[in-house]
Amino acid sequence: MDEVILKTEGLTKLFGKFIAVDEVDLEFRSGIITSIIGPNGAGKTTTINLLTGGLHADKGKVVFKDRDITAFPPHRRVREGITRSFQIMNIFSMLTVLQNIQMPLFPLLGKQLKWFNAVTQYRDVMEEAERILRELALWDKRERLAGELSHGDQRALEMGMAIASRPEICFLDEPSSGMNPVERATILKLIRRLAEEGSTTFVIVEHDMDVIFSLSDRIFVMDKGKVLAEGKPDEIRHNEKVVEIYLGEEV
Amino acid sequence: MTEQKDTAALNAKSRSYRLLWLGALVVFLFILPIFSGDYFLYMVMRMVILCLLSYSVNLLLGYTGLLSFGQAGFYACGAYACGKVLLAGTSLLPGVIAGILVAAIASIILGVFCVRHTAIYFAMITLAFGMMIYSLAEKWVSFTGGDDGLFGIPRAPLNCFYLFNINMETTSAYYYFVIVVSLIAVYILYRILNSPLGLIFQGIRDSETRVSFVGISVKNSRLISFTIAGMYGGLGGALFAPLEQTITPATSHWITSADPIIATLLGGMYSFGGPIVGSVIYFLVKDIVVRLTMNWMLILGIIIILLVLTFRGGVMGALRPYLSARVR
Repeated sequence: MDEVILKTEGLTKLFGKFIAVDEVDLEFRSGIITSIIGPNGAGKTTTINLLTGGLHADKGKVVFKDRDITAFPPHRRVREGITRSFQIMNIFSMLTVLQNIQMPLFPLLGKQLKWFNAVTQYRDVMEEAERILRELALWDKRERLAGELSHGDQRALEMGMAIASRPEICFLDEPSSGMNPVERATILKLIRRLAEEGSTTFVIVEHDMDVIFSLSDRIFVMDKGKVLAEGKPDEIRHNEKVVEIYLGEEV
Repeated sequence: MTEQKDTAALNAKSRSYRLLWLGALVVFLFILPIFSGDYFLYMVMRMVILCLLSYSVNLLLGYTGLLSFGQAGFYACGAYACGKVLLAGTSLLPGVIAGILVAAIASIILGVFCVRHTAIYFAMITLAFGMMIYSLAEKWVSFTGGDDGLFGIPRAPLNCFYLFNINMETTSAYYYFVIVVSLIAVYILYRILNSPLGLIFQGIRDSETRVSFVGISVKNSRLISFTIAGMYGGLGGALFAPLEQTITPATSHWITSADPIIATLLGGMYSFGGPIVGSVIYFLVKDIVVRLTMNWMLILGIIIILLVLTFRGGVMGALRPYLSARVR
């Protein structure tokens, strides 16, 4: 617990001449819920894309458990134990809820090359999928097409897909966006429980400050592609630079 | 909970109806030679071979989200390979197996390059491949016979290590061989598409980004899909060669690739039964129109446009509300 499992060294991303992420050094410790906040365009999602393999860094390194994974594509990073959910919903809308959750279980349980038996014949896949869907309160909707779910249910499903791979570190990009209070509470409870179990370290990007300050053990504040400040929630709440640039007034 | 139980019951019922239709179709195919002449059996074999080629297209288009204009290239690889092996004097099975293997090798080689690309780039690369095979078939005269092609391909007997030796020279005998091989092939493809691998293909169609972020290599999975599709195209060609007993470069022209694409769209590309339905409709419409008018291409084109516009998800898409019990 509390050891650095993922870090970046001078991580930089350019889009043409625009510096989206500017020599960012971050450290994520196991068992600690870390949040990344910042105004729109601060580089939060770009940073997550660099950490999870969605984008290639122009400079710098991503190191996971003392291993340089900068060049690893996304699927390899998932196999290492790094997963994510997306800011803009990214589920398999033409597949059922059950099929969506089964997908990350195939590489986890060594089934991705199985080609002759139907998915339903793999008991380990079916049982694990049921467990996850019950946890997300989606089991009763398992035969519905994912594209037909409500926004809140789709968000929950997306998070389910991120945690189904049993990652060591999971990046959640605005996980409670568009959810009603009940749905939000369910998801936050799940995040807290998994974090307390120690099985998964969470990194959350959010705009909802209530979620951030209630959930986070540590917060990074980004602005204009740089890390402006880092610290515990109370430290961030009272940091003058953060208040001036992001929060507007002391919270 | 009640909703799920109702859905499960209705799905079981619709599965039973589908099995019933399938059973009826299989029985019909097996008893057809009893009351049909050789020409009708030949037509049905051509339809079945078009089905296999349509499945080759549909695996890529409907299930993996890739439009290929080059399946005729693999079809031709299968046809020429089978033809050459049979002309060397072997029995039927080695010829068909050679056709499938050559198509598989060709699809792996091409696939390594083209699965890195998607959409229009993938379509263009496969189109270029098809035309390369056409050019090769035309110009490599010593091997392919050039414009004249391979002719006199024997309908060699079917034998297996002296266990049996079946004469394939009659139309009905070869018809049964084509039907049995095709049914086995379609069954295998059905198993693949319902397996974890098949679900991964569909995931790539829906969102390749999401597939990579659940830990699956999109490139490798696409390559597998492309290779399987190539093998089905090759199988179609390998069955075609002994049927026609002549293979010409036209087999690999991109227009030969267009036929299964149209058939797949007509039948419904998101349905397993779509290629069968589409192939039958397309083949019959084309055969009838050709007999009725000199301007068959114009009339055929108009009919296809009307059918595609009328049945937006293909024929199977239009029938889905009556066949499927999924709760919406």
